[in-house]
Amino acid sequence: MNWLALRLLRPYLIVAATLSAVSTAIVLAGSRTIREHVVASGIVVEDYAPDRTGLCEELVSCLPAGTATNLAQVIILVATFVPLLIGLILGVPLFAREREESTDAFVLTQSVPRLRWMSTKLLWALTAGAICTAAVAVAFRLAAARYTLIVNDAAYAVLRELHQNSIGFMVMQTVFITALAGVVGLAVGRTLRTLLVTVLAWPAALIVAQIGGLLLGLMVYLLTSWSPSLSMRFGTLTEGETATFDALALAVCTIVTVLIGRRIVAPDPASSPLQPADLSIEHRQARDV
Amino acid sequence: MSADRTTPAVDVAGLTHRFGRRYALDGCSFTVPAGAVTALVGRNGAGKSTLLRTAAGLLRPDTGAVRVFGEPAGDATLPRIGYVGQQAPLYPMLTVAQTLTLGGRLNPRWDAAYAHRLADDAELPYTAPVGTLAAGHRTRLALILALAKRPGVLLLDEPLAPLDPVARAEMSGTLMADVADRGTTVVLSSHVVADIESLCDHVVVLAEGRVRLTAEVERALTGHLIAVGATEDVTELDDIVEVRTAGRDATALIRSTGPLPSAGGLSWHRPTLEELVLGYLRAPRPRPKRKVTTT
Repeated sequence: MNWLALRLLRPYLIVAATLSAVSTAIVLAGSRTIREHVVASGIVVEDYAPDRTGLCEELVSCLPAGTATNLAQVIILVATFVPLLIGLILGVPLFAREREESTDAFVLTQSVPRLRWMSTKLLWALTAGAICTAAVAVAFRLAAARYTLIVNDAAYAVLRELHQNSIGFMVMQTVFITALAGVVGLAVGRTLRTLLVTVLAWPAALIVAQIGGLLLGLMVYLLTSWSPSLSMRFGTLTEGETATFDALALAVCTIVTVLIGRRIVAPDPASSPLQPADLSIEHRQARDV
Repeated sequence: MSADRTTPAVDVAGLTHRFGRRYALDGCSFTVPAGAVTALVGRNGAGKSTLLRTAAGLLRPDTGAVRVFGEPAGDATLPRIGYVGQQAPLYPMLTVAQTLTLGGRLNPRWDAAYAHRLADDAELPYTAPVGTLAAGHRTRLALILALAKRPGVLLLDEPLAPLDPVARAEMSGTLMADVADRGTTVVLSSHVVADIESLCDHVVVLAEGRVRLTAEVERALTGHLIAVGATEDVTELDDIVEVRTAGRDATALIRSTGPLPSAGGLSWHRPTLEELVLGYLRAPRPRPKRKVTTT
């Protein structure tokens, strides 16, 4: 099953890996160029400083105008959308294409349990997605985040909420989108519909993640408030901690999504008269029963 | 595989499946004995594909169940089922050789030597991607995958439709050889009776999602008669399955286990399988069984 899963994923893995490599290169090369411009302008941006202490005024970019600012904006766009794109590339065709081409009827009638088919494919896609995004996220966080932080356009400030300058959040975003697109593909069975549903679900998922992360943060705050030493370390609701909690919320969403996928593939016969596994082939079946 | 001959290979009990409001299957019940070659015959949309997909575990019925060698159709029965769907869906990007290798990877009882022998017999090009194969070759490859899995029951959804006459004969021969050698049970669907007439020993006629007839072919043929004659004489007969009129004459398919009658101004003969099946397919609805007098 591993061989088949990897063979079917191969073209998408190549595209995702290429996108990851190109994005990483853009982030690294862009950061280097920005640093040169920053140094030439006499601006000191030594460390990543989420609170912007001593850097520049709020809503005023203190990167040199022109190339440095433009590159920083490109890097922000990369950090914002590459996790989504990698998730879509790997997740959308994962099951939707098989159902669309009816090859699921072949593989599901071999001696392989349905759940193994689903989990093997999903596992490889999630792993590949996580690795591809991690490369971009690590490069971004270590080399570029200190510069993109001081690009102070309102629109880019909104985009910052979508990547949160966090490796964990970016990786979990890809993992969640891959799982979501895969499960939607299982249920819907059409590539284009899967793509549309997943893209539309993306902002909603980010909002849910932020709300979930906030609730987790508040819970930790309440749980640690009795101890001064613990409350100094946890429940501080700093940018890093919030991003971590948001990533955790996305992890929970991913688990729920995979569990829904398991029910679609192998529904409990006692509990559900609805058979989502049949839905994708519904109109095809209705045509040629 | 076929050791326990008392357990039906396929037991369909009260099977109902709907797509939206439309009934694809409506309370279907029949059994397929182990080792039998059963033709599932019906018009387009009769529910043949749905029934086979349900038996293969690809669909879950709304009500009822399919048992394969006594076990509910699903993951547990997969190693005992060989399924070939309509249009024989296979991975188009894999070559024939890779597809055969894949069969080995996905099936623990895979018979590689048998698969290669069948592929050689079919003159399949090993290095060609499946997507470039003609429909007939693709169907034969799908059948090879199903056979080399060494299943107890083969579920074939219109397997002969895309084949040329020579390939049909070869594929029928391959199927029959497997049945003879291993006692494999075969359920194959078709809407062309001529395709399966020489293959099957049992027949199930499906119409509008319901089973109209399920019987051993020989018994079904000896249990029916065709009467041809004046419309008023024909329509007075009992136990008519279906009657067709053409001008003042009529032809009726009737149930009868007796000998060929010789009187009554009607012409009588035993139906062919095609006449029998067409009669049941054209019949508006199942009629209650009554005793018939043919003298």
